Amino acid sequence: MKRLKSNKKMANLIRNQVLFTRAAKALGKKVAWVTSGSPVEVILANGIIPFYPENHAAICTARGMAQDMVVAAEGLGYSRDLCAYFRVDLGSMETGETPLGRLVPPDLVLSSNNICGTVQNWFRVTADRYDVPHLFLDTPFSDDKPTDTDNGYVRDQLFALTDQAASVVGTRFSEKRLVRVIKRSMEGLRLWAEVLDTARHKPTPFTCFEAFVHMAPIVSMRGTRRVIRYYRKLLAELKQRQSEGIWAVDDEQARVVWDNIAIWPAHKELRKLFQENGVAMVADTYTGAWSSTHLEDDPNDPVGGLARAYTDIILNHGMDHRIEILSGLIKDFDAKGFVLHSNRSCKRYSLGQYLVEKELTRQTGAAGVVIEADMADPRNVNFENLKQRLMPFFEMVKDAS
Amino acid sequence: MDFNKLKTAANDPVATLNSRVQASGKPLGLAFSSYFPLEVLDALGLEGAFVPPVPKPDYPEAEAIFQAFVCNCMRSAADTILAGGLDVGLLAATTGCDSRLALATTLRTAGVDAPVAMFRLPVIVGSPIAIKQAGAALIEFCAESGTAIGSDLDKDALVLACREREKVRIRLANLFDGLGNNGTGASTVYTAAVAAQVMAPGEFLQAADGDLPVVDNVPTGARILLSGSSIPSPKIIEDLESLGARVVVDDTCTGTRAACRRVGPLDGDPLEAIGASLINRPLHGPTMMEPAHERIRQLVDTARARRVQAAILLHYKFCDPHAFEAPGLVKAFEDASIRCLVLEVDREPALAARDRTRVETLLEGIA
Repeated sequence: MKRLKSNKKMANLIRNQVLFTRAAKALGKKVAWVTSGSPVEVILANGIIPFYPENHAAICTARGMAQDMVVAAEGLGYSRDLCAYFRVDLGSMETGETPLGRLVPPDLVLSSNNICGTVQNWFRVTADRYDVPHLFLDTPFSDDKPTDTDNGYVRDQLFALTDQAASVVGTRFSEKRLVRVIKRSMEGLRLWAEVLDTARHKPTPFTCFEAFVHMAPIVSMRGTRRVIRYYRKLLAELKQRQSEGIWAVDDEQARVVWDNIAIWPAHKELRKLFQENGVAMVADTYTGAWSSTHLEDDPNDPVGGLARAYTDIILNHGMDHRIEILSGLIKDFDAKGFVLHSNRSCKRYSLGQYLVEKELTRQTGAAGVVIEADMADPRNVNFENLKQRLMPFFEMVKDAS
Repeated sequence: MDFNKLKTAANDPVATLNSRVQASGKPLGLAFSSYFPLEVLDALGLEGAFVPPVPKPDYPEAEAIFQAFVCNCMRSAADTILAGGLDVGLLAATTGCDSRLALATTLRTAGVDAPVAMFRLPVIVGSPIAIKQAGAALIEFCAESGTAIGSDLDKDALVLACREREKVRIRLANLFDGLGNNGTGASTVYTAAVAAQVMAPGEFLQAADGDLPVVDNVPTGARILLSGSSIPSPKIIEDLESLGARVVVDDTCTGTRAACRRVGPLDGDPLEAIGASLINRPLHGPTMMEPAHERIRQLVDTARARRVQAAILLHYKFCDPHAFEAPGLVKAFEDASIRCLVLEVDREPALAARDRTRVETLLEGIA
């Protein structure tokens, strides 16, 4: 497949983000290290510049730097069974190695347990390491929908967080600024959803392999104008491809859906394997998590809208909810199969997937496969094993297509 | 003290639970975490208990639904529930670590016979917002559970259950406070703690009344602080003692962490008082959100006050919260000139040979 022109723009965007943190620091602004599920709008509304260690870990892994970093973290006594993103980032802090030149240390960290319990612990370690405040949002887990009590609890915390963030920069919280940032986030999310929706077309101009890469702006620059500009261009490029008949998989024979984070240590090889076998991965639960966020433009209660959005997140719900989402993707994107990445690094995302496989096949009739790997620790990824699991699966979905 | 009765319950917790059901005619209300207040299950008309740890080499039922990288606490709990054989009226899950969440939601999807209700415990320590939410979340839990099992919460029964369960915790706290006193074996105390998880409170209080049995071979060796999540079996403590380790301070979910909870005045809404007691627990585990150095300082201060010579961190493999805090805890103990050893347990009911050697080396180093 011909490479997207937007790839280069995205690489610049990522590089510039690190430059932003450096420039901000030089201008006396504060830098916050935040998790991907944090209510970053609160930080941005206070003029604090965010940096995303999870995104950084993915970049380090994609550039082949993860192994030395995880080993460095393990040398500090952290178990090999812990999240590899955490170990990559800690290893990077310890060794000073990063593909992004130089990272600006945080003035504060912000985390939320809406994506996993790991980030709560990870950012606690980071806050202790840099001796900076740890702002934390506790979002009650629910099997189905959050209750009004849950939303109220998160809303109360958000008010407290906005004040805490404002006190770090020595300003007063401005609801007006927050609303402006929320509106930009909403527009970014809407555009990203539109980008992902281009894969509904048969054949598809865009697969999850591209989505895993191009999700970086919505994860790490949500709430900024840069994201909106970027996704408008990406969307235009994809629509252009569609009109010119340029497809992501040259000979698309089957369509499948993916569950979990990308396998970064084997990303290129897997992409090639899917491509060579004519299998298009058209939708996934991971990149979609940033498009289904229910950010609301609630003029009467912007903080309440944020509370609902950051509580109602796929990983903050139970297994039945996940099955429902996957089932919807299979139907909406006309997929005949699904791949469940049993990710050793992410217990919240992975535990129970054997059951998801059975239940999803029962409900949709689609063929499923569970593949054991890791999002970042290359020692837990064996491409040949993955290939052995995937090849018969490809045959099944092609037969069914 | 009727130690034999406690030992029987600790050695065969499933049989103990079955005999409770037979005696009362009420189904079990089983909780997965020491952060669940059993008094609520009692007041819902159930035989409240914790899902007991059952160490064994294979867990076929659990392994059919869970990958290998789940901790044995959850694997064992899932297996016990899915294997059947227990008359369960309600499974009470509590939010906390990722594995615990997965267990609850997976059992629900697996279609276990009993309803699974989740108590969404806030994790922030020292926050008035979290204290208020804990009460509100318990009220929601009771409403959901009551509907599922067709039985409303009896508030009078809840007050009585609160008092009785508190007596159990006070008894256990006293036993743990007495660790290291002459004639007191730690394995005896942990046996009582494991038994308390599955016995009816009245029966436990009767059996645990009076002095602990005097044990002939109580170790007089190095004074140890034992930290970790659940103790899989008192056998592990017996093994530590047989090597000469004298546990004098406990920091485990099975022991002090659960036993130190105290419920305030019950003249208002008892559920709010119970909720507050969970957030205000004097000693939390690492799943709760408090600055890492606070918990560590608390443990190091206690270790110093009790003249601890070494700390053993008994961690389940794949237990993320404990694995995250281990390096910081090890460093803090070592900075306080207290040697530290991390032991990783998985399915073994007793110490593995390699761990025995490591404990021996630790103890020799101190001697």
